[in-house]
Amino acid sequence: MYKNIALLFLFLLISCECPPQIDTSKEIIPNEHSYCIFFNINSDYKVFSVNSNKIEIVNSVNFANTSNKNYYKFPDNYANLLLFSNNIPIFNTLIYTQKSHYYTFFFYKFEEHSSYLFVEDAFPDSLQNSYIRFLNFNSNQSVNFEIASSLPQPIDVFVNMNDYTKLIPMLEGNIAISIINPASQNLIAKYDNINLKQNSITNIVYTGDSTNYNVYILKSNKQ
Amino acid sequence: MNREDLLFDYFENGLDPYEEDILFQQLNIDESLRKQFYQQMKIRLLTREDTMHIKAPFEATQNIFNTIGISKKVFQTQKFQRNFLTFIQSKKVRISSALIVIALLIALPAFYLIENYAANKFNSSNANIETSANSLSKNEQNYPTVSSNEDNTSENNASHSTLNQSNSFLAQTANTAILLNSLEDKLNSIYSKKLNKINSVYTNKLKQLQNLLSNNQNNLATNLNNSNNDLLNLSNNTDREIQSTANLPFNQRSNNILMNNKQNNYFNYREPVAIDLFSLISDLLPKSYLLELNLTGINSNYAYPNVALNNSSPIQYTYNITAYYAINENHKLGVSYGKEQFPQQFNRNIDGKNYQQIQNPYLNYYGVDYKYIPTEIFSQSYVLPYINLLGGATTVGPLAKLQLGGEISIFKRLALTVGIENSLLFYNVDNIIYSTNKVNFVYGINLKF
Repeated sequence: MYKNIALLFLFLLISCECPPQIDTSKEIIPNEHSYCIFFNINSDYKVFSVNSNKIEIVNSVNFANTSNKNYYKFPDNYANLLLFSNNIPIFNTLIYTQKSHYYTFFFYKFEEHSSYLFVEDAFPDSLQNSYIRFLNFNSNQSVNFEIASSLPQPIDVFVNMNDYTKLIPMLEGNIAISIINPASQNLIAKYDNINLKQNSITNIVYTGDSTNYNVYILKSNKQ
Repeated sequence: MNREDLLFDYFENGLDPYEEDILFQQLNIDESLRKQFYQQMKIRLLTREDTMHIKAPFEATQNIFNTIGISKKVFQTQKFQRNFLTFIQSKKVRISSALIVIALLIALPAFYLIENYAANKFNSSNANIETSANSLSKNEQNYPTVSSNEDNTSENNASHSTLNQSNSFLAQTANTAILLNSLEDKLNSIYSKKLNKINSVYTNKLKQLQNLLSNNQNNLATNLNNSNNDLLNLSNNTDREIQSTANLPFNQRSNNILMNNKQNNYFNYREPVAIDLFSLISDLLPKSYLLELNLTGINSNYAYPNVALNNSSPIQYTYNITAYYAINENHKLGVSYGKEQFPQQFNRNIDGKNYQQIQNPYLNYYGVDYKYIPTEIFSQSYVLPYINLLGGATTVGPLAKLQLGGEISIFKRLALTVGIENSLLFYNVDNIIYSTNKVNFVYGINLKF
C-alpha cells in the first residue's frame, strides 16, 4: 500500500506541469518597464493583440475604442513589438522606451497602408493639467483645429498631413472642437462637449482621404 | 453386561445413553424384563415414601455435622425453624387461624355495608340541612328573588350529590364490575394475541408440512405402490390435525375487540408497528461502519499572494471529495481528490529580460488524509470536532492542508461538516521555490456507511 502511495506521488511529481505553461488567464509584467497605451484606428483590423519578446502585453485592442484607457507596462529599452490579429502577425517593429516613461502607440491606415505612430507622452510632473493632442492622418489635406473653451479667445492649431502636435495643456472642463479646411476656411466637422479630465490625454485624430473622413476622440489616463 | 445388571445400574447409578438405548430396546422386546422393571420401580417408590416420613434425630445430625466441621449456628437456625414449623403445624394454631379468616370474611363486607349506610345517612341529612337553610335564607328576604344561575347550579349540584350519595354503593359496585370487565378484556386480548401468534405459526408450519407431504405423496405414489395406503392414512391424519388446529377455541368477544368488529378472521390481525424515515434508513444502514465519505465545498477567504487579474478565468466550483477508512473511532485514513484555485506570482527571465507573472489557475489535487476525532471527550455531543491533515500533490507541486472543523450530526450516519482550512502549495519556477498560502472556509456533508 505504502509503495503504491509513493508511486502515485512520484507519478504526480514527474507529470509536473510548469506553472508558466498552465492554460489559464495570466498577466506577465516586466520588472523594468515603461508605460504604453495602444490605439487601433485601422479599419482593416477590428481587433489585435500586442506582444513583446513572446509575451502578451495586451490581449485585445479594439478598433476605435473611444472609452478611457489605461497604460500597460511594457519592457523598457529596446523591445520587439508584434501585433497579432486572429493569430496572424500583422505588424512587427523594434521600439525603444525609457524606464517609467509614458508612450502612445497609434496603429492607423494611411494611403491604403497600415502605419504606426509611437510617440512619448511627456507629462510635465509639476502640473496636474489635462492635455489635448491633434493628429492628422488624412491622406488628402492639412486641417485647422479650433478649440473653443472657457478662455475668451478660441485657439487655432494647424496640423499638416500625417503629422501631430505635442501635448497641449488645457484646463479641466468641457470644450468644443471645430475642424476647418485651412484653404477654404470651410467647417469640416464640429464636436461639442468634449470633457477634459485631470491627468488625462485627449487625442483628436482626423483620418480619411479626399472622399471620406473620420474623426476619433481617444482618451487615455495616466496611472 | 447382562440385562439385570443394566436394570440395576439404571436405578442406582444411571446409564450412559448407549446403554440406556440397549435397555429400552430390551424392555420393548422382553415382557419378563418389563415386569421386573415395574417391580423395581414400585419397590423404589414405596421405599422413598416410607423414608420421607422418617426423620433423623436432631442430635444425631448435629453430631455428624460437628464431626465434619460445620458450625453450631447452622443447627441453631435449623432448630428455630423446626420449632416454628411444629408450632404452625399444631392443631391450635390451625383452628385459630381458620377462625380469624372466617371472622375477617364476615366482618369486612359487614363493615363495608355499615360504612356506606352511615355515609348515605350523613350526606342525606346534610343535604336536608343545606336545602332548609337555603329556603330559610330566601324566606328571610322580603322581596321576590330571581334565582341566578349560581343558585340553580348549587341546587342542582345538591340534589345530584344526594342522588349520587344514595347511589354510591351501586355506583361503586358497578365501577368494580367495569374494572373487572376491563381486566378480563385485557387478559382476553393478551391471551388472544398470543393465541393468534401461536395459531399463525402453527398453521404456517402445518401448511408447510402439508405441502411437503403432498409433494412426497406425489413422488412416492409413482415410485412406491405398496406404501400408498400408509401415505393416504398419514395425509388424512394430518388433515384432521389441521382442521383441529383451525377450530381451536377462540374468545369471540376479545376477537371482536381486536378486529374492530370486522371480519372474524384472526389471520388478518396485525400488530401495529411504528415506522419513521430515520429509523428505516438507520435500519438499512449496517450497524457498524468502516468507510466514510466526505463531500465539501471550498470557499477561499484569504490568499497570499493576493492576485487581481484584469482578465480572470470563468468561475469554477471548488470542492473536495475524501473517502476515509476508519481504523477506529478516533483515527481515520483516507484519500482525497479536489479542485481549488491557487493564486500564483513568480518571476521569469525571457530573452534576458525579467518579468513577473501572475495567474490564478484552478488546479486538481490528490492526497492522503489523516483525520483525528476526539470522540472520548465529545461522545455525547451533536458536534464532533476533528482535525484533518492532507498531504498531496497538484500538477504543479506538493500540497499540504490542515483543517479544523466540526461534524454536526443530522442523524445517525449523516452529518454536516463545517471547518476552516489552511492550504499550502509549493511550486518551482526557474529553480526558485514559490508558495501559495490560503485560508479557506469549508462546508459539506459527511456520510458513514
